[in-house]
Amino acid sequence: MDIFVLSCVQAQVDSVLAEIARIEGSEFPYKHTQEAVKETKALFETHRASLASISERSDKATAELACSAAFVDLSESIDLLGFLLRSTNVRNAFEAYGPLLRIARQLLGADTRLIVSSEWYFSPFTYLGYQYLPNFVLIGLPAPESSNPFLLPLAGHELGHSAWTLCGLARQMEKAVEKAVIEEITQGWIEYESFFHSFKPEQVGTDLFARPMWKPAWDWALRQCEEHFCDFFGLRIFGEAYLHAFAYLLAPQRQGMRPLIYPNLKTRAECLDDAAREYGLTVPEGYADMFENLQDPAPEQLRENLLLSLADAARTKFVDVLRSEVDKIVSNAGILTRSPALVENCGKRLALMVPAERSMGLANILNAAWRGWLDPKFFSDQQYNGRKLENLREVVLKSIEILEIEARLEEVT
Amino acid sequence: MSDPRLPMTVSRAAIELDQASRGEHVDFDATRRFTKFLQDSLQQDVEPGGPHAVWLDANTVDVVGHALLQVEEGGMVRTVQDVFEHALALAIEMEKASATTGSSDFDRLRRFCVAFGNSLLSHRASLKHEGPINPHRR
Repeated sequence: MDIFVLSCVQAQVDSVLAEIARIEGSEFPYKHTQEAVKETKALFETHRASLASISERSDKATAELACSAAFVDLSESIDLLGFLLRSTNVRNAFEAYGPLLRIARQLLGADTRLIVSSEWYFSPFTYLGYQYLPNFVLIGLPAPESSNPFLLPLAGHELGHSAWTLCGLARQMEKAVEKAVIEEITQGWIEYESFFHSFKPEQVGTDLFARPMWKPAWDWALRQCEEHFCDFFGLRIFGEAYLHAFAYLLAPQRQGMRPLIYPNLKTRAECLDDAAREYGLTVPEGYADMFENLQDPAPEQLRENLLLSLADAARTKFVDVLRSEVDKIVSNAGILTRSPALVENCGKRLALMVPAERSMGLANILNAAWRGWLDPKFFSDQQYNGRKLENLREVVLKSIEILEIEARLEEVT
Repeated sequence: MSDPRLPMTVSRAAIELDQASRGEHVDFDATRRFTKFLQDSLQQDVEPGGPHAVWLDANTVDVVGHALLQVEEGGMVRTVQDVFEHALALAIEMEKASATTGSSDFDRLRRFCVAFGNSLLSHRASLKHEGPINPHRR
């Protein structure tokens, strides 16, 4: 092991620990961020100790692995630290934190910890798989939209990513999707034979050298299934408000290559349309027609197109199952989904530019908010219609604050 | 396979086995943790009524399979069943090595840990280019 390389990694670990010490001095609006910072600090302190145990007598490959392991954590944790720091920023809608935490705990367990932050990135996102942050749900919204309550339903999609793993669906689906991909290959062998030319159909699933050939299709199909699951999750929790938030963010997207780990855009919208009808929701007329599918790989990219067609064929087999699973999970958690009567009541208050009381759930407020957006003459007093969105945002955030106050008062009585 | 602590755990296990191979006193804490992870990953899943073929998730087969191809002799690891059997045997050997003071092939176990660690990091790196990136970023 080159001593200089080891010292570089050690210095970088020291830099991260120094940065964490600075972050620890921030003002935290809620304790979960502090806890996440503490866990991250413990990880890097362990790396520091590990690297310190390497000596001139250490096996070279072993020393290199220790440096690589520390380096990977460095590269994967820096943006997480940024996320944690930005969660303290006043741009975030702290009013929504309490209601979202309640929903997260109902769905994922009473010990769930939530951090909501922002990112200088177009799409909402979540961080998954930080095992040293057990029970944490990390949700980020695009920075310019991080205080926009109209996009809060998209947090439902991000919660779905945590549920996918916690409810055991990830493991079940890994196996089911693998079986579907292999079946697709063996049943359509005439089409795939030239691609798997060195192998017989019965070797496709078991041979270590055949498996990498179809594994990307498995990975894409599995991720696409997860995205459908999360769309249905957001829809089931927030109702029509999810449809509108989804369209707000993605309907304008017309150009670009389709990300292979997502179902195509219009396909997602069509599946949401079907799911909404099954869940008893009202779908806006022509909803899916607002979207366009993005470009598939170019025709000359034969391998990508073959694998993508395998992935799409496998994924479509599971859409109905995923829709039902979401319905079961959300119903069993006792989540109060939107009530037409309560949405109506909230709407009447918002139209007066008065915060809603007794809304009984975030979904009711957000659905009333979207009705307000879609109604050009929403406010009774015309003076508010001039800056309608700005005024709506303000009164909706106040309604969410009241929702949280009512919930806390109910807890103590 | 997605546990971010795993590269560090297997790296520390490799360090412990390296130290043990030189006769140094070692607590084998990380070796035990990695062994447990490996045993938990090797969940045997048999199709009812079908041939008794093991099922392991594709990422486990990928990472463990690549590691075994580095350390086991040529041709011995070819199928998913082979991955399961060889990895289980190594997990048992690691469990014994961390429990007794008798002689164990620490060097072979260290080589497996290093191969596993590198295979895992390589697998992680291959996942990083799948998300959308800003085309203006270089």
